[in-house]
Amino acid sequence: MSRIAVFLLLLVGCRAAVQAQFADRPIVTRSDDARPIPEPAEGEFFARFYLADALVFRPMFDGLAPLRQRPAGDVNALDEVPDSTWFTNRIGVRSISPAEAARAADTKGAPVPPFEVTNAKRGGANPGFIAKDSRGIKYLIKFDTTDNPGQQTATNAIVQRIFWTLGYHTPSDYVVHFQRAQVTIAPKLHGKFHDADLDVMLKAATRRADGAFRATASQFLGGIPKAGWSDRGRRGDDPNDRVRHEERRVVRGLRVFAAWLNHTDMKEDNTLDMYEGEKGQGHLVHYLVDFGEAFGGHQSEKNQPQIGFEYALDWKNQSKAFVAFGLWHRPWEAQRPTRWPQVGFFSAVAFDPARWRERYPYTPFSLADRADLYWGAKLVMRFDRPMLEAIVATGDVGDAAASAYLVDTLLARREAIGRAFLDGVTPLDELTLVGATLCGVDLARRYGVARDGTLNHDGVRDPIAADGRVCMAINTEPGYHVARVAISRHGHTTPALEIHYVGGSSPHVVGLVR
Amino acid sequence: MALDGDARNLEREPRPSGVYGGGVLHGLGVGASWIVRGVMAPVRGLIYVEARWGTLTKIRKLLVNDAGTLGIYPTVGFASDFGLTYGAKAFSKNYFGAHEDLSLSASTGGFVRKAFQAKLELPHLGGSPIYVRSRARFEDNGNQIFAGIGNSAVDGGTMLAADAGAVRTRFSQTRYLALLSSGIELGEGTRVRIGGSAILNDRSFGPAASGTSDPSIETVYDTSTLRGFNDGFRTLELTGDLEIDMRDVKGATQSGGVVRAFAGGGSLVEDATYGHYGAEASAYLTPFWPHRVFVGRVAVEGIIDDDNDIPFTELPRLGGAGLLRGYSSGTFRERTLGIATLEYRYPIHENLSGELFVEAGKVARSINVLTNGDDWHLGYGGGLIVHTRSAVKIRLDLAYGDGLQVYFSTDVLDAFRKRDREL
Repeated sequence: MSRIAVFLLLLVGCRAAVQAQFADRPIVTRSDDARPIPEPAEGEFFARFYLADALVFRPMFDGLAPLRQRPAGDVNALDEVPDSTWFTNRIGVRSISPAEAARAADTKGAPVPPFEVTNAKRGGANPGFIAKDSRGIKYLIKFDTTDNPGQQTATNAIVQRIFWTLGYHTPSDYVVHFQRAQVTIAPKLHGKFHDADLDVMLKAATRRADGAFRATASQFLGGIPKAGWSDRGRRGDDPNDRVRHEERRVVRGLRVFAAWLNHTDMKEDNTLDMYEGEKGQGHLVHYLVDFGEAFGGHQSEKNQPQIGFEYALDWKNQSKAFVAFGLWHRPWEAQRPTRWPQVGFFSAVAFDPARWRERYPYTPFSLADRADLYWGAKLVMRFDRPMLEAIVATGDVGDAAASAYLVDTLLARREAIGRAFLDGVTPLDELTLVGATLCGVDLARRYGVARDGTLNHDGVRDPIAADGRVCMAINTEPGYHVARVAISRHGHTTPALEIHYVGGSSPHVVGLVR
Repeated sequence: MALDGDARNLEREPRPSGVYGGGVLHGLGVGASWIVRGVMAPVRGLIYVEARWGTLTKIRKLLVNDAGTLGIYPTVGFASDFGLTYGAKAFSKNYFGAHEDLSLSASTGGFVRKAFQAKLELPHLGGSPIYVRSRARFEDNGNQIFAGIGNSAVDGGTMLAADAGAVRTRFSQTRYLALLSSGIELGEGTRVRIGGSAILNDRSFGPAASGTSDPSIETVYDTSTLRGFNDGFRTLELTGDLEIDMRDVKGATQSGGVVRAFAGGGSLVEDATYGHYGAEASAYLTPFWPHRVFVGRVAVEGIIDDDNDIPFTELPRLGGAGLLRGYSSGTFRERTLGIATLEYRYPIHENLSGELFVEAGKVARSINVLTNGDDWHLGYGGGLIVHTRSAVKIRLDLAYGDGLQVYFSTDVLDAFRKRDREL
């Protein structure tokens, strides 16, 4: 759209009679979705059926009748996500210290060996078992894959903390070391799981110089597990679940975080619903679990650099490759593993957030709209070097250069995220309305991903300061008003942001439409 | 607080947004989608049943032991010009702890009316690098192809020359085969196999079985001029075998090559003798971007038969997946054959490559005739190769030569891979 057209649109929009879209009510910051419900069914997940659907059938059906992209249904009037059983606003609404981010969901401290094995681990690519530590706290103990010592254990600890800091519900994951003598098998397992089984499992585990085994200890969540959340529809046996999952911003916006962290293994069984509270009086809380294959771990585990760039069955790209007869040099072909076994295919080179792909098509990701991506990018941009250094340190990577590389790469990919998604909408945030002056912050300027910019409003162009702050005069006559603003820079004008506000003696914003 | 999804304080719903707001086109798409859903429902349902109850796994457990070392399973195959072959195979793989590959199989349809085979292979005899392969097979083929002898009319002088109007016919064959080969296989990177083979064949022939569109052999050719046709024959062939495999990996090969050769003598039991030799060399090059692989292959095979009395089925044959795609199996047969292949492979998916190829092949009465002249038969086409890093699982080739041919195979660049079965 040309600048003149945008100008005229803004002008006409401001002069038109305004019908109230948002009620003049307090902004909702907490969603009431923790009402008592009967205990839901356990839930089932059939991996092969899920993958067949995701890779073959859904692309076929959706190709003929594309899913409708609707605005997120779990947001408040300011287009933000209220706290809920899905998400708790953390870094998005308050300062998080590096120490708090490193602590994350931890409430009980790191596990304390010795461990008593109470069960063998089912499923997953890497071996493990379920055990209690000396305090009786239950953990899932998982080991690295043989080819990539230290990788998944470090990644689990780091990425879990990043997701917690973003606002998701996660278990507490730790990197632990223990000697063989510090593991015993519970009497109830005698005859089912033997020392020899344990020794076979430990044989492939990463070991420290003193012989200690390295593992991830993932603290068991409270409540009763009820399987993962589906990526389409709602959970029929949870009356609190009133928004289709593919229309939830917290699930669609997850695409941004998954791209940032190269968490390609995003699928239903890496999520978990827990029924928390007394039976009949509890409710479901929705968790993300199992992050060990982020940071390109999925790629290095399978030695497939195309992961993160193409779906496992990518009909579009692979059909294109078929007819290109090898003349198309695909972006992932330049990918190389890092020189550290603890770090997978994780690089900022050739990283294009908009083209990033999860391994198995995840419907909410494909339905993410510009507002969802902006929301995600906004949270990512709040991570700074000290915070990332503190979080990466919890991974006990064991090589200072590898740790530094992880932090540098996270920062470089963060910047790519900002460039890709902030200007997808008008990135004006932290709005304040004092008298007849509306102020806000251009996040693209604040985070240095845009060199300049002017705010267009009602035919007026206000330059944006280097720190992103910008103010404008607005009409505060009594009544319902809509201000439409956009930002122009680099030859591009962002889609208009509608600021709905009520004028009068105490003017205030009642809603935003990005 | 507000109920989940009711936090927007909306007085009225905003304008519908999104890339598809409805309309006739979307309606048509939805209709088409539901039709496709209906069509795919049985397949999807089967996958659900398998995922939900592990049906295939349970069936497999009925047929194969837990270790996967002993069992029975159905087999199915397809070949252009022959159709679907199906049967069953009982196997023991390392069941006795000797890394043995023992199997009994039976099949019918397509290539054979009925076939039975017993096979025992010991890749590492007693843990040594010595291999032993043996096979006993009976087959009753109803629809073997015969389209004359010779590359074209200009060859002349052969027992039954095909000319420009050579007619493709069918004949039946009853065959007993016994094979024993042994040798030594060495090496990790470059693998070298040196050994020898003894192959005993007992064949008898007759008119084609019904059910083919091609005429039966006796209605077109004078079969009394085809050595061995009327009386049948028995041969014993002894050869020395050599294979040097320098490929980096066998599935997604990017570099290296393979050299194969065999040479030896055959004897019509209680009758004449003949010599038989073959050599094949292939090279894999990736000169530009990774996984864009150029493969070159040349192969020759010949019979030395001074008395000019070799049975027609023992003549080298050209046509089919391993020897000139685009032509039916056994379209050309003569005392010598030569083939050259250039194939280009490119990546589509980690387990799928595309390929384009062109092949030129020729049969002739002698090597001199083979190397002279330009009457080579061309085949060209393309296809898909499903592979892992270490093995080609299956490849589909669409080839055009004297018509469009479709091949499902595992290795088209191994000219002699079926020597023991189809010799």
